[in-house]
Amino acid sequence: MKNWTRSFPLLSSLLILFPAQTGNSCGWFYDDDEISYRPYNQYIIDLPEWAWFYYSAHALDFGDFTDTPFDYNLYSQKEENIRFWSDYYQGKYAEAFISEMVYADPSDLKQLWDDGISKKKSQKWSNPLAQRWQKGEGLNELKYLLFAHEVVPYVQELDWWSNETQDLETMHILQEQAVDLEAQENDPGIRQRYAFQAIRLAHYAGNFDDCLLLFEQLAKNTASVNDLYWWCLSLKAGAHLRKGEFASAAYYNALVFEHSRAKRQYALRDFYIDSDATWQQALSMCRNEQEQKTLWLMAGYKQPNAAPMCMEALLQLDPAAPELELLITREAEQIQREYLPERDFGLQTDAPWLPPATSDRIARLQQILQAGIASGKTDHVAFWQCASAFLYFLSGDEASCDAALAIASKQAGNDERMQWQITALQTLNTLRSVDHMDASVEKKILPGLKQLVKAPDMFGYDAYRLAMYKLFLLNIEDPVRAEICMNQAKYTDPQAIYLDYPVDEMIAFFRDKNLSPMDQFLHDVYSNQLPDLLDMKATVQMHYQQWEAAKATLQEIIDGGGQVMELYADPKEIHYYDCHDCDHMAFEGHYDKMDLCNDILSLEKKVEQTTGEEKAEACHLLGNIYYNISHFGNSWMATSYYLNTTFFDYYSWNGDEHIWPIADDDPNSVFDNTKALFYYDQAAELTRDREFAAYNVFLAAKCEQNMMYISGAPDNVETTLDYRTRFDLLRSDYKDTEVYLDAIDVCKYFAYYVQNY
Amino acid sequence: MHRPVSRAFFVLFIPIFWAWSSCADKQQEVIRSFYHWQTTLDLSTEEIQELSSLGVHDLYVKYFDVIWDEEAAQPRPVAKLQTVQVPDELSIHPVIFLTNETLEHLDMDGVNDLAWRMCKLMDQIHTGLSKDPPAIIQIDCDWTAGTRDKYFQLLKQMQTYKRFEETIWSATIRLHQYAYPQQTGVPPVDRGLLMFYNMGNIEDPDAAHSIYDPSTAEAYLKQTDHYPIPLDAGIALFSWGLYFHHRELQQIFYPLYADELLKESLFTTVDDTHFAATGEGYFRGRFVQPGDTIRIESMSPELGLKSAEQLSPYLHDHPLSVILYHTDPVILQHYTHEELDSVFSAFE
Repeated sequence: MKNWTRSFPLLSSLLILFPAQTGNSCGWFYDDDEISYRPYNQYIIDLPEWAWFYYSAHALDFGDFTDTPFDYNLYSQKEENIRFWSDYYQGKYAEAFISEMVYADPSDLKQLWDDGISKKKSQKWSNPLAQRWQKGEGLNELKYLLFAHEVVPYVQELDWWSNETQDLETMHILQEQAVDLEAQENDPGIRQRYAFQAIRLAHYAGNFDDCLLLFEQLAKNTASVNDLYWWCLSLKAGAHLRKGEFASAAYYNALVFEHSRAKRQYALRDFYIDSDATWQQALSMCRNEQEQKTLWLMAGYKQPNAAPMCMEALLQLDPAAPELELLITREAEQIQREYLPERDFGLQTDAPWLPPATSDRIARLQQILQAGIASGKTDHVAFWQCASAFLYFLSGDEASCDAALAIASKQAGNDERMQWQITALQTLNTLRSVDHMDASVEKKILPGLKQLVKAPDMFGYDAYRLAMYKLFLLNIEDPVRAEICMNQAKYTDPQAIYLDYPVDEMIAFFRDKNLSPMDQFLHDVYSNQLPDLLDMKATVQMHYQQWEAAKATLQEIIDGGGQVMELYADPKEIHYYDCHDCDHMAFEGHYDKMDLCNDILSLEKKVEQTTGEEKAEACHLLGNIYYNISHFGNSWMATSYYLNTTFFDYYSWNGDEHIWPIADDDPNSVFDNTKALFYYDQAAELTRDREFAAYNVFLAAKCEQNMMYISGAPDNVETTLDYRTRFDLLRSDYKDTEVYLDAIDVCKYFAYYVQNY
Repeated sequence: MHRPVSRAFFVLFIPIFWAWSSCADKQQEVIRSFYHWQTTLDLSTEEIQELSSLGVHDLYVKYFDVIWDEEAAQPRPVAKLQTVQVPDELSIHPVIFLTNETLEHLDMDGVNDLAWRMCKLMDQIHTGLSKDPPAIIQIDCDWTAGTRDKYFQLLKQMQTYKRFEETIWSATIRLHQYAYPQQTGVPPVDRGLLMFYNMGNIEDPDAAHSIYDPSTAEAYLKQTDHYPIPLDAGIALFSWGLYFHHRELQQIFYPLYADELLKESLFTTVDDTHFAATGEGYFRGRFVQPGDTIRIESMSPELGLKSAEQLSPYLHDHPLSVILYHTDPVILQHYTHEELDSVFSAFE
């Protein structure tokens, strides 16, 4: 049987097993790199050229998502190419001019060529390079650019969805032309570029042997000519890879990684070690210590399991190696992800706060750090001490953590970011041993908390959140402090639980003028302040239809200088068809919760005190209000905070779908329309205006429909008919009205009912 | 007057009776087939002869996979079939594997567009192999409740592609989809291919055999009396190694047999199917650490036959295609001709 290794069997249906970490899929959830709390900040090591590589591969593809901006230009191929040209011209031309010409339209370049040959100017150029060519100078450069443009279509990725392949014959012709042009050219810089094109064409045509041969013949000794050499080497590395010569591929990719920022990602992507023998062979190809260091870095980067071994090797070579520090940074980050809780879901009230973590992995990294520190040869002492302190913190060794942080702080000097990290770890480390709250504990931790809440980035903020979560656990019996600490730890939304919220206790706390320093801190950081709490109280009261009480509470907001929450529409307005957005957009006046309370109270009084049409009108308006302040109306926000039913405990989930609750006769339920129904019925009965009566009957029918939705009854004809009594009434008693005809026109349910029942 | 039994009775009835009883003993028609899952199709003369001697004239060849490209935010074909030498003796049936994740990212417009692209690419590849359109096309996708509607729409849309109007369409059916068609839906195709493998939890470090477990299989098979569309049978022959680091599945080494690990100094034998790393080092491109484990799961000839014998009574839609996975020489060298023949024969 054939040697199966001849072809690379790629992953197939049996092997694509892991659901992708779809940070960019339809639904939103945390990116790979931010899925857990991360109080340890990778950016405390200052290696801007390798900043991209602190994180997972996801960051390489999608860029930085944190607060610290990447410099994307550092890795741009276009920028690097322009730099090569700038070096070629020895800085004589600004990069903007070079870029304009190198990436000019080929037709413009062709015109410049013709100008240069004929010494005529077909158009005026302000670009000095173009002017140079128009004078007939440096035409070999222009000739090269024209050739390069000719090559471009053959080295680009084809349409994925086409089975078309490149025109290999033309590519071979161009390859040979490049070789000929290289031989004819005198200028070493341009010769090197022709060599690059020849090697590139061979590579993209899949002629990897040719690619390697051309490199040997044309590019091997051009490192001193221009850094374009590393792009040629990248192609050579790729050819070795595709020939299965992994040791050579790895070695050359390491060189490319070190010397070409633009090709760094590709070098990393193509770095592959299949066996120990390959690894030893790659190492044996290194000519000096720096090459070894890069190789170790890439091996430790590509396979996180190999990182400890690689760090140990780098430590032996050079404790000050930035490659080592990068791997340490990544390893500490990996450990952080492994042992710190997941965002939002990871902080459980029934589990201890950050239990001490012990593992071979932590121990091994700590050994490396201690060995590096002991050598006295590391460049960034604060970084090493801080990383060590972080591991001590994770392990629960508070004393060692403190000691390491003390040294780190001394060494960090004015490095703000490092000092931040130290503060974060100090605060968390202090909290570890705290098992109860008293004045002395509060005094100890408050300064740290005050620093952390002003975190400059998400890492510092994560430390703050973890600290607040510990405080939550310490204050779990105290509803006010527990609420505030949890709010800060997990960004809770108090309004989402407004019906179960300790609003009176919270208001009392926020009115207290004699708070302790810690309590004052909690007061200041909480997401809601006194007016918000009063609004919540009033909303609860309105929810339970305690209108007088709600008025009094809302008045407290006004008396305190605050504003009562506005509604988006006047709930006394109603239409056949519910369109909240339409009502909100059409509404131009001002209507707030206080207006609502006043309207209800005055209309209820009118209902009590009047008769006939006046009473009917009042009933109608009350029907409108009670309809509109329910879940189904345009002023739902009057008595609750969220329209989305996921914020309510009103429904259940049976594993497949949401189920509306069985109606439980709760008049305070946001879904309840019985009161609206009552008033509409009253209005219809009281009025002598048949059109008005018919309209109220239709509005009552809307209430019935909503009641059907929340009834939980099976969706069948019998159930439907149970909730069509007002439809029936409209048809039987008001067939002669305009409302009847309008209802058929506007309401498909009524039209269907009329036609079928 | 007593009439003797008509001579015609003996002339006609007995032969008819004989013919009927012969029909009752006649073998069920089984179309013996193989999957070809590599990106090159270049079977050796010996391989073609072996297939021929087994009575295999149908090859289900994976033309490409469709995955979701995160960076480009669109579906992408990968592992396209490259070098192809089409043996005259074999009929080639295209197979496309589609990840469920791809469907998750698409809306219905995207699904319809994808259907067209898949057909077009498949057509281009197939045109290089044969002047006739494919007789059968198979789509392989482990759809879920969330992607069912989109997947079924994709299948329907693909079937409107003009050149494939006469083609028989097939879709792979996993055991859980077979067992619960009301919940999972039945794909709108002519036939299903019941994948009688990969029935366990591959990520469970304590699982015995995630490829084939008779009791798990039986539990699924008993759920359904009759699947709504005719089914063909897919039987696995392969062996793989599941690599666990800290009890988490990190990689699948495929194919991998125990005899390779027995020769590997980096690993020590725990039992027949489990191996533990004793040191640090590279194994097949993976850096392993002490304590890491590999669990070998093999479809031995005995298990292959057992799975075929277990499945056979449940499939009645003859002529029935029995497709063995797959033509990788590394896999086939672990089976004799007789052993392969017996797997097919289990369905006949």
